[in-house]
Amino acid sequence: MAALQKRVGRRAMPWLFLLPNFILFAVFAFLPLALDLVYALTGGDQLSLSSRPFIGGENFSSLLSCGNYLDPTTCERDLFWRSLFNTLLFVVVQVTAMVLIALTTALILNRNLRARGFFRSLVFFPVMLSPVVVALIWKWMLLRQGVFNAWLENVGIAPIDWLSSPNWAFFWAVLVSIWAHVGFYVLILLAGLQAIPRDIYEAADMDATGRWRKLTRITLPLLWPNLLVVIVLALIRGVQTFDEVYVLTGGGPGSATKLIVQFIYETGFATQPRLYGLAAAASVCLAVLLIGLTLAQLRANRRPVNE
Amino acid sequence: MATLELINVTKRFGSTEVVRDVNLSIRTGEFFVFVGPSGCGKSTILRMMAGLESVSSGEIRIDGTAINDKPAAERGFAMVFQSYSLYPHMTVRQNLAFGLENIGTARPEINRRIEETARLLRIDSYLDRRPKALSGGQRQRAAIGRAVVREPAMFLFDEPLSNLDPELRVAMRIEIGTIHARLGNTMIYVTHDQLEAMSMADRICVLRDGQVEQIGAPLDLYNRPANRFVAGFIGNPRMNFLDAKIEKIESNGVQVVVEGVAPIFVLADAGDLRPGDPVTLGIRPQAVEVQQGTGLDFIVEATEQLGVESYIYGELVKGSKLIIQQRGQTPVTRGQRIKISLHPRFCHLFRTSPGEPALEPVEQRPLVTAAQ
Amino acid sequence: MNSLLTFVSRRRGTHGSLHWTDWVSYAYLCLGTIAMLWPVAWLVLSSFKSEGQLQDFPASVMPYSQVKVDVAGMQDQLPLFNVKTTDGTVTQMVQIRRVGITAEMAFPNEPGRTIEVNIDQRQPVTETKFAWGNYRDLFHSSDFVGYAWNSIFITAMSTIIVLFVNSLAAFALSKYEFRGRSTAYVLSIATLMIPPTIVLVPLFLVVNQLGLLNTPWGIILPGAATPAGVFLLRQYMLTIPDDLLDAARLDAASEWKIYWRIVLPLAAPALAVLAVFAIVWRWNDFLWPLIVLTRDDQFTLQLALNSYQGEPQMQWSSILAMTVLTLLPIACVFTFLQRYIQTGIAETGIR
Ligand SMILES: Nc1ncnc2c1ncn2[C@@H]1O[C@H](COP(=O)(O)OP(=O)(O)O)[C@@H](O)[C@H]1O
Ligand SMILES: [Mg+2]
Repeated sequence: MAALQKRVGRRAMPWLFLLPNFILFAVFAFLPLALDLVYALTGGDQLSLSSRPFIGGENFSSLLSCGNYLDPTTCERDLFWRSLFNTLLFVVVQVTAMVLIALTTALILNRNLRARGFFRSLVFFPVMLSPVVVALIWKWMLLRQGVFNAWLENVGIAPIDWLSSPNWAFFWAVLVSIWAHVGFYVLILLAGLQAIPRDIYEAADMDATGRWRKLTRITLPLLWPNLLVVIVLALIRGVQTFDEVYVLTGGGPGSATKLIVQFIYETGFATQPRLYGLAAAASVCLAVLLIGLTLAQLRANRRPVNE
Repeated sequence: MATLELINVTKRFGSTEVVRDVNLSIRTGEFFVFVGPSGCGKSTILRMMAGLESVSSGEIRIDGTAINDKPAAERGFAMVFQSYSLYPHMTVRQNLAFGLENIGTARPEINRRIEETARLLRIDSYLDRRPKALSGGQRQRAAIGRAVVREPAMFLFDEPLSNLDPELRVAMRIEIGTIHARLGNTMIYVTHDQLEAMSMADRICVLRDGQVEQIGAPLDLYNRPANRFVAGFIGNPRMNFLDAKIEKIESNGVQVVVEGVAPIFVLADAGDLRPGDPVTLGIRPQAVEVQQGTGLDFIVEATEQLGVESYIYGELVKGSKLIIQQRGQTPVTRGQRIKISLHPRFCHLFRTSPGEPALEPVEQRPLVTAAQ
Repeated sequence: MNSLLTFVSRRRGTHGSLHWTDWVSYAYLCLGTIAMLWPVAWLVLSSFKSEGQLQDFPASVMPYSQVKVDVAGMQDQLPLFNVKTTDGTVTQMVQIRRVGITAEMAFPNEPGRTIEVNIDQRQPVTETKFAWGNYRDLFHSSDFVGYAWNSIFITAMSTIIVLFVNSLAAFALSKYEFRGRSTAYVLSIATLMIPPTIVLVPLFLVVNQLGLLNTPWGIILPGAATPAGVFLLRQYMLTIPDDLLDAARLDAASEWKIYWRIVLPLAAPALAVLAVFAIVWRWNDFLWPLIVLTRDDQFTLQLALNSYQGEPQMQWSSILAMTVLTLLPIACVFTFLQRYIQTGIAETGIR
């Protein structure tokens, strides 16, 4: 190594250090990003680029053409629209509920309570679990013969086929993903809460501020930047949800819980013929959505605390 | 052992010049100190010598050969940093050994040198501790040890004592002096503390804004400051400066007046100055004397009694502030009017050039030192 | 109980009694505890039940087995039952043999005197017992060991490569001044905005062209240059004083040696955080392996679990045990390193 430095000189060393990382970035991130468009603009079911005919915007028009945009069955790619609708509904419900739960939990964990650390670790624990494990844990409880139905029977309600009913399946998909991810957002919000200086509260105490007022006039406004970051992060991740829902419901029943990433996966890799172009076009649509959200995140990050 | 020369050395960071056209030569075995206010470029010069910073223009030479492009490791210098910069994850012994291992010194030789250095610096008892487990003074010793063990041609110190408490600083000052006497290597030392510079240096280089103001032996700088900046920087408390006007020029000196005060005679050469030209009168606080009876009027504003000496702060006339240093204890109190006299032999005159912040002395050699 | 109450109702640090909001908070947390803990606990408990017990509805909470007792004159132990006799009392008897819907039962201490009992009239006597059978079967199946090995190999390799490659890049970006440094940094961080979900197809092409389909390297390499890792390590390395590096340079250390001997050891805390992340990322990875690994001898544990649970004649007993074993390493990592993980996340917002 010292000999290498002699050869290339000290000034070149940082470039040398960056090299492995940049090769990986270039080959596995930037190159694919560029190729994404190439795939989206070509047709056929061949993977190799040379045997794919250029078809212009056909993939996009195929994805986006619809008789009535509010009714997926009239669309040429009804599965795409269904998964898009599902994703949007999923994200709205999941993010709203999850942020509310995370906020409540963080506010409570920020109090002067016993065993705080234990509770914090507890809500965080599922974040570390693999989505597959999470899905199986819940699937096992949601079986027809599962523990939930046993409880229902105890109180005299007939068992329900949780994952065979579209609405219930969607409900559980949302709930399971909240269960799995909420701890992450609790942690971020808690860090935000703990960054609020104690003396502000002491000053408020001197002014005889009530609990509710302290919450609404001090805590929440000061936490707002963190909350914004959490919302955007949750949106970005929510839009890309795949693993746990796929294992839990397989996208079913029918296509009731099929999300956009699953559509991409199935179109490109799990059905014959493999429509790489269509999958890439759908990826580009997803990318546009994500770029919008990422820009929102950057803006949220930049927002100063005392605005 | 070698002489080190800086020839027209300039350093630019981007477009700002931090070191400007520095020329100097450091002799073998010398204890050479760079002193100046913080941000004046002392560290930058030291780091250029060490090879940690490139030279924008000019040359650094050892024994006449330029070493600008020689990597730090091959210059054979050792450096002691302000924050010690001991490797925190290594024991003191490993810290000392690291550099020797890098140049492939044999293990027995490494051990021998570490033992020797440890004895010299009295760090034997904590050789196997990590820096975290050492006190500030011990860390400082270990850091010096790391330099000593390499047996370098030259030692570079960058404000090594400024993180120590005052008592320890004095002790370490003496210790570094002892090490210098023992080893006899060239030592180049950077500090912003003029007291450190005065007490340790063979020669001092005073820097301001990246430029050399004066180079000389400590007492030269004290007795014959090249300009008002050096005069103000060297000596504690600071030299007093008063605005004055030349009244009369005589063969052995100049008579000046400070507005509202009786004329003062200064042993200095007026050079090209004419009567009526504005000058700055500089006088060290030690050279002002409190008198009974006649003298200049002085209104006391505050006093500091330190026991062995005392400082009197006040106004000579409106706007002319003065500090007086008195031996022993003084009975004067705030608000009191006293009489003082200025020792003509300890007065300096500086040129007032409008627009130029630096004032040049009228006379490089005030007669007082010539008389010695 | 009383002391528990006083323990709980004393607030941390302060004395004074509890406000009603404290009680509400504790109630919320208790509910939360159940919601978070029960699903996992139920999984673990279930994994110790035999396939037969798993069919019970409603299921018992704890895994159990039927009590068997020694009976004089009998070679084998006999199963013990609670038998409801004709007069309505319940007594414990052993079953000698069963014929159709009746069983020949006897009192354990007088095995000679048998009575015929309708099998509706008796309940097996059970005791809590964890059956390791599901786990034993797993370890005896070469499939499982193969999946586990694949997962371990991918995770370990990937973690080492991530740590090495990212720390080198972070070192260059935090400790050197060079033209183009900020561009290089922005480019590294920009890849944060390229999540794998939007480049699945072209990434598949790249991996295919490199001949990495159905190899562990097809998972390891695309995941190795993580922008989050570069970011985290760079932030930490910025706190290492530059003087230390200069000292090493004067000590004749090469730039590589400075990285290897000075910066890397000093960045250990950040490396630990990244290591934990890397382990969790790769161990839990699903979508990309699902695309790249199609031969089932290359499956990771996650893929194997997915494919088992999709089979028509799935065996929950082995799936449950395998699920537990899959979450076990992560649970260990979490238990021992949760401080690191939580501060890492709180400080960087990465996961
Ligand atoms: N790497 C650098 N880039 C830009 N400016 C620098 C750099 N290092 C030092 N400087 C500037 O150079 C001047 C001199 O710095 P320095 O030599 O550290 O001063 P000193 O050691 O005398 O306090 C300062 O104004 C400082 O801001
Ligand atoms: Mg400095």
